[in-house]
Amino acid sequence: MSIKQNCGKLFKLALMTLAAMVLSIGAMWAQNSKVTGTVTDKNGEPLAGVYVLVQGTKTGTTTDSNGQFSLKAPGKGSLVFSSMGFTSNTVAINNRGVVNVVMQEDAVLLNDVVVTALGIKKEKKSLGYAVTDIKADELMKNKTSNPISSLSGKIAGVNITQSSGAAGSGAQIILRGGTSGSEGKDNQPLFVVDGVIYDNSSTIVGNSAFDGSSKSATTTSNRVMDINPEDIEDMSVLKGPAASALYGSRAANGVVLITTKKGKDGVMEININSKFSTSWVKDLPAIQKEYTRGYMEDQYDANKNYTGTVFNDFSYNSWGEKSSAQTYNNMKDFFQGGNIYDESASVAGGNKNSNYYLSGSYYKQKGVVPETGYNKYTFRFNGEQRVSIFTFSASAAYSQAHTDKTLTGAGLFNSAGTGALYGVYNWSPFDNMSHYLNEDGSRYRMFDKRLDPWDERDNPYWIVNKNKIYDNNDRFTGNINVKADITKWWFISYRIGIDTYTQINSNRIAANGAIKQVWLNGMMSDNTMRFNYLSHNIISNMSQQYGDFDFNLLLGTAVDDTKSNSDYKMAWNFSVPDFFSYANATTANKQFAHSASHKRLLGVFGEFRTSWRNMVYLTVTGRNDWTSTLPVANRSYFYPSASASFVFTELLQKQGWLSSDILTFGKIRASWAKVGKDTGAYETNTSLWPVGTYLSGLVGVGNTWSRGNPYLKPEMTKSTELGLELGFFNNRLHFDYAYYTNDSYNQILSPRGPQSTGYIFCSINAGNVYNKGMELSLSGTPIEKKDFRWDVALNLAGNRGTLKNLPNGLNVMYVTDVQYAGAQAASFNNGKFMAIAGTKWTRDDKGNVVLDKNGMPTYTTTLQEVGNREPKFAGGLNNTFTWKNLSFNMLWEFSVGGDVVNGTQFAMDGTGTSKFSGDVRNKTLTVKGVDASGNAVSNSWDANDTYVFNGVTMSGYNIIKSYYASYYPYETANYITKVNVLRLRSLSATYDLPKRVLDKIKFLKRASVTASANNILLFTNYKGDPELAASGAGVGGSSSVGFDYCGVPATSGMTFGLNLTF
Amino acid sequence: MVSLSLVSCKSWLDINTDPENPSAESATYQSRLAHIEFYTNDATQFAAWRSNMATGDWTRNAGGGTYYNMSIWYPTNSINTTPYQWWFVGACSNIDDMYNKAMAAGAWSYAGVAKVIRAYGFMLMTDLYGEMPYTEACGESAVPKYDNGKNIYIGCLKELDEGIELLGKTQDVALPALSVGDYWNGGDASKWLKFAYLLKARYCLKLSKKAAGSYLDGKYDATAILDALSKGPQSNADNTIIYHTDNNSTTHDVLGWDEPVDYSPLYSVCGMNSGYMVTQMLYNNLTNFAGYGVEDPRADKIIPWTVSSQSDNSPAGVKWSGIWRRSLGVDITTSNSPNFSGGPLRAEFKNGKWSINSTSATRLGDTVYVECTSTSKGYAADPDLFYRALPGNDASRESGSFYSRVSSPSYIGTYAEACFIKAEVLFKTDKAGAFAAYKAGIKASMEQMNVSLSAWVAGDANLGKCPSFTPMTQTDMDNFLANGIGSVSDLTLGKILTQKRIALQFSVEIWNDMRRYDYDPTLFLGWNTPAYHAMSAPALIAIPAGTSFRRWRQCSHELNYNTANLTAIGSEVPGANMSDAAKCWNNYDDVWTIPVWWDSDQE
Repeated sequence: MSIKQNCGKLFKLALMTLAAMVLSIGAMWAQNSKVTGTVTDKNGEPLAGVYVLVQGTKTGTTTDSNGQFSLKAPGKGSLVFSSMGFTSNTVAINNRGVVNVVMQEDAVLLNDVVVTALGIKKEKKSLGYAVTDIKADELMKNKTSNPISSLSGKIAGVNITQSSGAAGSGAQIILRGGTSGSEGKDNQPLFVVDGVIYDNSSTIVGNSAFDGSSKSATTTSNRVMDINPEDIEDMSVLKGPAASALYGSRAANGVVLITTKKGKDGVMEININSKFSTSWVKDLPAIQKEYTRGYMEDQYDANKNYTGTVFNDFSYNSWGEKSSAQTYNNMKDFFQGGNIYDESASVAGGNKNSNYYLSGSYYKQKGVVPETGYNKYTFRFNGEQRVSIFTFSASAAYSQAHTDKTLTGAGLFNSAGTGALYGVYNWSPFDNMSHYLNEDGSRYRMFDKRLDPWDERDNPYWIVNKNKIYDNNDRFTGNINVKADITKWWFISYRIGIDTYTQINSNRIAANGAIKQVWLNGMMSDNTMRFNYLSHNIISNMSQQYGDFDFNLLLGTAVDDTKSNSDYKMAWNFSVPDFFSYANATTANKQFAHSASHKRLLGVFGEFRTSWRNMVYLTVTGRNDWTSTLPVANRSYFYPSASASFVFTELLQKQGWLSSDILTFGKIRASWAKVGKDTGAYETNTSLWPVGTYLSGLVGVGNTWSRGNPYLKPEMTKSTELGLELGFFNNRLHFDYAYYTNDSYNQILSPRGPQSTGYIFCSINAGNVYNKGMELSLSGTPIEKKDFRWDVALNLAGNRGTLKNLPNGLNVMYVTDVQYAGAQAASFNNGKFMAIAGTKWTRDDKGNVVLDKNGMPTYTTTLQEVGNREPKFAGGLNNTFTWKNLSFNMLWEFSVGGDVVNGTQFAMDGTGTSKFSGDVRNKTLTVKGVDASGNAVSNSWDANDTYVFNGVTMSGYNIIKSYYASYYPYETANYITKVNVLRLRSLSATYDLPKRVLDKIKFLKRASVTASANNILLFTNYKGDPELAASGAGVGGSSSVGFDYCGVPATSGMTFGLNLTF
Repeated sequence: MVSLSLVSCKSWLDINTDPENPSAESATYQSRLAHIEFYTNDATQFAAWRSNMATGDWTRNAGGGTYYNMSIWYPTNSINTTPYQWWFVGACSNIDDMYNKAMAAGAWSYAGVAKVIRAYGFMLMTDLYGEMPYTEACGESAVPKYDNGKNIYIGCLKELDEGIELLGKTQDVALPALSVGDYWNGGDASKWLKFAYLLKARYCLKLSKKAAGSYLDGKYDATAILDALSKGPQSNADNTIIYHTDNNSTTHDVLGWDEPVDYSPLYSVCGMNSGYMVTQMLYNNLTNFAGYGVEDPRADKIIPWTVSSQSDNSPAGVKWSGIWRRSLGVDITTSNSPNFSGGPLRAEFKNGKWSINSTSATRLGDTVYVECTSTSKGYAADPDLFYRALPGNDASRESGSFYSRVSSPSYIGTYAEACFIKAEVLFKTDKAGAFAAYKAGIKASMEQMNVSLSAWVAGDANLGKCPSFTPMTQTDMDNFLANGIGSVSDLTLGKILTQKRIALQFSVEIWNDMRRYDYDPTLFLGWNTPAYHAMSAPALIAIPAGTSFRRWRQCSHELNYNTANLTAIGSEVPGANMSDAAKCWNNYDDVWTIPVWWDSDQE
């Protein structure tokens, strides 16, 4: 069957179903007179989905999206209005034809209507899967430039990792573990803003082979940062595939739905929000200040007799002599205080038929590393107009962001330390690091001509002042939405959305630096990526009630078109020194490259929901996708889901078996879902490298290092979820538990394989990633008095991710960008998904270290599984105290277990700047273990003594140094900590100006002042802040979470804010 | 829905073709060849450089990392990836496609070249690693099975025979000429045929540890060698040599080195780097071969020079030529080796003269060693090929060495090698014939060297003022051939093998010869196991005392991603430690000492 036939059949089916629904309604109407009306909330906002029941009958209806209802009822009867989140309201009809009702919010149940897939609000109790949403005021309690960070600690099973303390650096979000072991595939959830998919990649345009740019060498943003957090009304997290199945291919990792603000009917509001923050580096590694830069050299005469040990200063490392000379606080002095100015304003308003929201913001951050910062401008317009049965809405957002960054670790082209932060951590305290220029402004060279410039280690001040790395982003997103309420029970809507941005990453390498010989006269590169996403959505939704049953049928199609285009250009060896321009280099010293990708996806989907007496709910969905990225034979794939929930308290209470005073609400839920996932563009083909010109001018082409696979099948994720929700004491206490399993199979992997295949990477369908876990949240209001209220919410989750069924012999999937300190991010076949690969000392059966003839540990150099970065469990505790107009919020986060690799310590021990290396070098070193025959051995070395080592007399000092520099790191576990963390993420106090004061100031509607502190208390067994992802957010596969390597340290901060509404 | 029904789903989705990079199927056979030739040669030259750092002619300054370690027989995993990657990913993945398309089109020359290069590449793999995926390599499998050394060996010889057969056929003139894709031999199929025969002789000779018999059974086949040589190169005109340029080609390699494809791979791994020095072994063999007391005119070209001013303190025995001073050789084999006392150190140019940055009195004399660093006009944008330790300062110039400059030639197959193979084979039976071949080999080597020297001086007359660049005079060459290489009566196998390694200065064949003759110091004049090896604990772990350097460990890509297959082939490798089921035999510390198949008497 061809695709075309397939499409045709499905459309036909959809149309026939619609027609059947239209025909079947006529029979519905009965006696009584017609009553219509509008249901609104206290702000005049129409309320959809309010259940309207003629009291004492089974006749009822629900309000439409405009809050309107119409039914036939006896004139002397009463109507009962009920909706989750509102207190039930009984109104006598009194022979009126129009009954308008204002519903009062039920404070405790406010969160019980949630935004679900396709932006449809549903009662939480009807859902067979976990959805959590967070409203604007909660998000704003610890606002950062990154909406993702505001979710941290607030939702069970949502794992947020701030990648570093650098200005503009991104955060990673993972829901319930990763689903793909392939480093090329991001495991972060899909973001959808106002119904349109929103790109959240963390990309460096440019690459290690082109201009040396790599994720491990600098920081990146994640693109959701382009959203102004003030514009967000609601963020809804759809954790499992069941919740997100309708979004199709890209939703296997879950979905985060963001709804932006709208103007409200009859209210015109101007809001001005101003914040100022300061930030500072939280903690820095301890350094030794006893031993100078240099090394101690053992001397021998011509007969190989040891003649003594003398100091030699020809080294960047600090393994020199003990000294009481002047030292410098290089590390502390290098970092500066950061600050943020965060200004935003909005105007919103509306009337019965239209509303608008207009906002702008400016965010300016100075980073803790000199010369770094992050600036962002955003603008947004949201508007809506109703005309007869049509509702037109549109939104448009534009943002501009600029980040000034620095190299952290070294780039690919120089492992000797071009990274500023590497330099900072490893600079000798006996050298004044701020002395980086000579008096004439030329670069100060510590070893003068003793090293070639490109073999030197750059001074961090030189790097941040002379070598500029920055990016610029322009982004426009918009959508236009038309909805037609054809009848009370049927609407059709169409939406077109675009997301387009241009990201330019730039490098400026000053002349005479230490990066690469060929760049000695400077280098520049500007790499541009244009991203373009266009989507069309058509949805038809019909809802109807038959007796005790509610039915809802949704059918829709989605069309996605995603393009990206990248241009890379660089120039070096400038003719006029220190003048960066492409005109200033000869043609031979310029390079240009281009890449492009284009993919399309067509999806047809449907959802059928039914419920019985608000007690039993059942939903089934199905979606078929056609993707351009898979081989023709496999590009169509179907995947279903089913979920059900049973509100058993409804039954127990109706039967009078249970009073609602104690167990007010109880629900069990279950879901099963499958989601298909396509792959990247062009993975079915092996492509050729750009054409080259070889000697004698011959043209040559060759296959790239990635082998395409013309037999790829879609990747699938199957998941199940079971849950229990309980509400006690009229919902003063709420309990929610979920157990889930996730199996991602037929994974499309492009693993590094044996290169005897002819390729470095080969696309294959193989391997399963299994995740299973539990989530628990407990929330309540322990105290509720007239003037005082305490809300508390605890959430807790643990996930177990494993990898299985890789092809025989392929034991591990590495993440290229993440290898530090002899350790590497890896997923092991039949092992942990978030594993650490490293080396081990050789041990006998009893665990004793096997020592060599010198008494030093023996080791194997093969990488093995030596750690697991996934915590046992993690969670958050959120407290809000409200006393009159003062509210006070305290958010704690915690995690237990989860290994972190301390690469910074590794680097500093090697270079001899760490406190540890200073402490151990003059202590007697004792190494115990067994010899090759299994006999117990113990050897000791004293720094001031000499020993025969490998048949040569050596100083104890150098033996101890060689132990810590060479043997000690071979037990990678020496640099791994199983970390427990308790962190006070934020502490804030907000004072709302009382109404009586506001009443005096006529033009002011609301006003509040806020003071907050971020990340100020940390209790952990880790040396430093363990919340790290050394290669940034958006690294695929097992990600770079849990790797600490010479990054910008985490910061703490204080924020003062003022919010005025006119 | 209306909008969708207007769309023809099929064509709307048919966009999965990369607009930027053509797909592999679209490549023509002739366009693949230059790409294959580049990566094959770089793989070979990198392997030659790396293996030659352990065969006694070269060393590096103390603390010079991986290659200093190689020169003291402390091999590490840092050496074992690049040649493998450049062969498999750069070259091999393209060869079958080129062969298949060429065969389908009847382009016999291309098909023949494909077979010859395939044999050449896999033979390199088995020389280095012993076992490797071969029958399943570059095929459909994501985890190709291993072949033992014998299978690879015989397979390669058969492919070579097929290549010879195809190169003997004439392809239709209407088809793209071989010159469209070939720069190794400029499209000359008859040179390719001679090169193929030379390879056949080379590979058959390598079976010298085996019993006599047919090479197709993996036996030593002296008849086949002499037969192949009779059809191989007959003069320098038949050499397969790449003449590299310093044009700073805009095409760069794609495997992460990001360097121009026109320049010499040995420049990349040696010439542009610091601290590489000639050893006393090479120095003595060039200046006083076999004790004849006649300096080889090639000595000035291979041993690096630097600008220096002579003083009363200048050690005796150092050669001067005007402002230029020639390096001495570093002793790495005796108890006088500077390795024992933290040397040799790299000289630096400070305050207008060369000095050593050390407080140790024994180190100050290390200025007698000149590193073989040179630079490039094209890529490094320097004024000429001289490296200046102090940029812009002519008094700090260094000459580099003949084989490792940016525009040095890559010797792929030479008449000189054919001569030395012939000399070795004839040595037992026909001394006079052996001597004639030996002498012809040395002569060919010198004459070939003059080709590049003349080209350099013609391109930049200034270079001619440095003795490293001036072409050798006929007088010097004649004198050396007459008085410096011995005669029929005193010819030894050692002289043949030692002159061969001078003529094949950077070739894996040097390591192959040394393994064939078990590192016999009487056959490789001046050779001894590096003295410092016995002092280095990690070196003794990799190559325990009493064993020798016989193979490379598999690189991490095979150890980690093809573990099961690699482990399985161990059962066919004598000496492989299969005792621990959990640990692959190839992962043992001393795997470097297990002979490869041809280096053993294994059937």
